[in-house]
Amino acid sequence: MKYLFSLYQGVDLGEEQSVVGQIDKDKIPVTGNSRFGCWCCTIVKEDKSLQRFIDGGATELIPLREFRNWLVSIRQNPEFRDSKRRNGKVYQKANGEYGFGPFKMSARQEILKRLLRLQKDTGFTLITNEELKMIDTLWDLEGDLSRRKLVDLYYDVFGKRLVWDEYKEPLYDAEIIRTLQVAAEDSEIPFELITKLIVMINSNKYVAKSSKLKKEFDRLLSEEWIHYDAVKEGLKDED
Amino acid sequence: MKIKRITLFNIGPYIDLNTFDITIAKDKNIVLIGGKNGAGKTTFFKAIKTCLYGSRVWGFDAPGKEYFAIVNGLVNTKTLYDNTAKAYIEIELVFDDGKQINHYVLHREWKKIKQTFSEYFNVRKNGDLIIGQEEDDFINYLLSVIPPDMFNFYFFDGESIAEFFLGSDGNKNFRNAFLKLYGLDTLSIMVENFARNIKKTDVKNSTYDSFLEARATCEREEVKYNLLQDEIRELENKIDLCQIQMRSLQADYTKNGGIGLADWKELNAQILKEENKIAIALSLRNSDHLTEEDFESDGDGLELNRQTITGEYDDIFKALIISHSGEKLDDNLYFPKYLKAHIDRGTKFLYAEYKYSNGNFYKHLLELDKGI
Repeated sequence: MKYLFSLYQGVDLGEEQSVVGQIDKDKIPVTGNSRFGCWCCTIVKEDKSLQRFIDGGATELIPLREFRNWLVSIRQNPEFRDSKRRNGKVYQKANGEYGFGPFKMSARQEILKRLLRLQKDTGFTLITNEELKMIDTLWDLEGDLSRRKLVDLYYDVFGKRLVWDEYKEPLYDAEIIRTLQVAAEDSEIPFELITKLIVMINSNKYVAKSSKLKKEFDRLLSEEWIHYDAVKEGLKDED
Repeated sequence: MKIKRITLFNIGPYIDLNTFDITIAKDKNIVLIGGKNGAGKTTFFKAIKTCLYGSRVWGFDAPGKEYFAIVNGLVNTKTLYDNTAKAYIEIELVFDDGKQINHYVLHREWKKIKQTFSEYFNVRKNGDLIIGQEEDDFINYLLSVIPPDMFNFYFFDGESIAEFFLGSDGNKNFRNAFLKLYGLDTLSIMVENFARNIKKTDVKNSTYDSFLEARATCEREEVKYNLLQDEIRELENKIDLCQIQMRSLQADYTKNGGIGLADWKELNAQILKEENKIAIALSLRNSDHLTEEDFESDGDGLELNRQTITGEYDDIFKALIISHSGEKLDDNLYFPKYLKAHIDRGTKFLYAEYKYSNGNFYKHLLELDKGI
């Protein structure tokens, strides 16, 4: 218990109130209102308790703080964030900027790459294989037609293959994907829509009820982000 | 996906329970099944296919009369006549995607009661029955791992493989299998659905499209209208400006002695009146009597206005004309006949006088003034 409290010791540690600090500040020699949660939490601007550990001599945590601060720095950067929600909804702020959706696929790869490197450099287990499996499944579902982005990224960082690496076959050859991409761009169709359609059709094409595929197809085609400009045009004088 | 075990119960020549363990080693991964004619090789093969896909592999969406006719040929004859007998096929599959290893047992069973077949199908995953959506998902997954068309590549009957590739449907079979193998059927499905969607939305959107079009036209015309309105305002301003200029010019004109059209007309009429009087005076000054020629006129003089010509001096003119004629003229002769003759003759004299002044109107007036 004493050890636990000692972790919080320090002057003016944080932005959030610590329950302990509030209730027992007279009795327990603990000061500071530090937040002490997940090391990569980006809710606070600066993780003062992490800083405090580093100040206390835990220099091995410095790369972790740097990673966290980098995460904070890209959090509000439109280059890293999608301009639509996962369900395809778009919202525009009063100042004309688009509201953020999830991190873009490219940003997610960059984050994972840096995280894996950090794991390799520090020796800390920052992400488990179970978590990587989940992310891999998610990336497949969110349109990684190569289906190999995660396993290849892992190999690039660690130089060894994940257990399920050999089972990850690309959905299409790189050449076919490129051809599709060029065709989509030539026709001014977002390639993202095509990948979404491909993933959806693949997971539904053997369903006996073909109505589900049709329904999903029409739903994807009518997602807001595809029609946002047209919808805005349509609503122009209906305020 | 690997097949670990196949169990046939009352299928073809396989009476009661028959279990085949076909577990394979990693380096030995081909299974050959051989036997004498009629031993049940083809039945064995058909049983695997039917157990995996049910009616779908025979080309039927759902189990029906035709499908059960095939089942009828597949099950052991004993089942057909014994109401309590059943027939089933069970296949144990092992799925290893590197992330985890799962065992699935597919069980497909038939019973014939009163000439009618019923089919029962269930799937166990790692020993537990899966139902509902999860079962659908698994079937879907199975179909994606080995589509029925692909099945013929992996499991083939030596006797009928030639038919698959070289038969009348050979090209089609091969093409479909190829497309499915490379996932290219996905693109065909996409194209189909785009066509369907466009057809659907075309009908739905035509009203909306024409609305958008009409609104765009409205907007364009409104812009034009506003431009024209601006032009009108500009022109109106010009008109106002011109009117102000005109008023100021008129004021200047009047100030500098200019007269208006109305005044000018009135003065002209006045001049005409005076000229008539002068003409009569000139004619009377000549003591020669009026001749026949003088009375020859292009009109009868009824156009003349006695009030305008002689006016307040009518009595004096009448006396002078009677005196000049030396005759007793009654009023009817005096006007218009004699008066008109004097005007006509006097006008000639007046014109002669005017010519005499070399066309100088001022000099002409002075001469007249002296003369009369």
